[in-house]
Amino acid sequence: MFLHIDMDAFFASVEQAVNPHLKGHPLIVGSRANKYHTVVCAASYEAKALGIDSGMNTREAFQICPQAKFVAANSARYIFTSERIFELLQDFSPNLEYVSIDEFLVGLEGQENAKPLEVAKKIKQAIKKRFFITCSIGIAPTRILAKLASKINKPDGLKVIAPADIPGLFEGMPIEKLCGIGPSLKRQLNSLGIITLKDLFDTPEELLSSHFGKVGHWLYEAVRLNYDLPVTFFNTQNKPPKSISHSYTLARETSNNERIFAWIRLLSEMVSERLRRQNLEAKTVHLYLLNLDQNRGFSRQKTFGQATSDGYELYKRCRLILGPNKGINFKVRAIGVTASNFAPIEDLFLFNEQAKRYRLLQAQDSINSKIGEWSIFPAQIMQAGRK
Amino acid sequence: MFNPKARWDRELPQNPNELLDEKISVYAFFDKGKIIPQHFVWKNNIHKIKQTTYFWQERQGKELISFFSVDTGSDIYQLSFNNTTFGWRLDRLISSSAGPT
Repeated sequence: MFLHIDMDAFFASVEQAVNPHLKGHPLIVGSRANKYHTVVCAASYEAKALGIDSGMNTREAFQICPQAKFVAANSARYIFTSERIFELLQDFSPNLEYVSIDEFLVGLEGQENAKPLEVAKKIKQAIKKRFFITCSIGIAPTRILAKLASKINKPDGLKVIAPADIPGLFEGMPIEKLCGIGPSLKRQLNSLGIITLKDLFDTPEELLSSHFGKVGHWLYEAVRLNYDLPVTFFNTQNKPPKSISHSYTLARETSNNERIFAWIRLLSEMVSERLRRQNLEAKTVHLYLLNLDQNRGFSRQKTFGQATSDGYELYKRCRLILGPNKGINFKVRAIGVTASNFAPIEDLFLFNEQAKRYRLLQAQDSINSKIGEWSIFPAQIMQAGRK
Repeated sequence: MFNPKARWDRELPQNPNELLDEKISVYAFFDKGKIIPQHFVWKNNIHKIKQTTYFWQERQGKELISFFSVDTGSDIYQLSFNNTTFGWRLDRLISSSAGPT
């Protein structure tokens, strides 16, 4: 049995706990302090009720609710709280998975005496008592359905899905509620007349498989509890990540190439620092540049022969992906750099220059870990602050 | 000067008056690994802390900083304690009695 714990409007709830004067008000947590030039990274339930949600432009959000309160996101608060919640959950089961900063999965297998409903109630009480925030918990035999259950009675909800409940529960429930069904798959399913999970449940496997191949088989089995997403519990979670990425949405769009390149460099340095911390090098680099308003952009990746964990090298590879001597001829608002295709760092070098560069990066990391992040950084990054 | 640490400009409050960033004296209990601030002295006034509304920590280089949002009954402030230097700071006014900032 799985318990999927989903924190309720996590960032907004933490901000309401920090400042109780914000409780009961529509609250927008912005990614940046500039309230009209950022995006909503979380909204309180009072704001959600008005139609404000994550990802929305704050200007649009304030048009919906001009009197909404605003705070800038404080990632340290959320990371600290999330890590403490994870620690707290270890008292309930050793089988834990960190799904995301505000979602956790608890497995109760091997604990025959544990009563899932009782465990869930205790978890809810413990989180509320210690952090003054609420969560919703879904209980089900598979993690896919546990996640679905956690969304049903939000906020402060608790929902158990037993196999016998499934046909009735699925009646009228939109298919996109099922984890794994995104906008594209939803469109394709809808075009076949599959609108609700009950429709999906009633669709023959042959039809799903003929249209969607393996995914069709997966959909057929998932709603019958015969298929589940893989679980990687914390005690076995030693696998390296598949990719490391950083992205940033600028306060205003820009076509200033020097500034855009500086941001690509900054994001490349952030990715490379995480690569080195995990003793990894990457062969594949992905770059995207977007203009959110015009829905225009650039997104491409390339795999190189030699792996790297050097931020400058990642940056140079991003420039290569853009094309030699090519500038950016559209206004950019969002930038992202991703590294993937990993191998362990090899510190055996053919050339002296490579060894010197490696020692330089080690010295940079050592200074930053002692004095604080970004105490020392490449001068090019200064250009990112240009107007 | 641009600092990539403040790249999300989260350190800049919407209202500059909120930012206080002053060294202060704090009377606190250190009990079983917990720090419980009781009152603080700022501008020669003693501000009694009615409630610590939230607590979190952040590592800044090798230094661990403990943050407290504290309610004095009229205002909510952010205090921080440097676990290396044992110094306290009054970081900012989070909310005043007039309502949310």
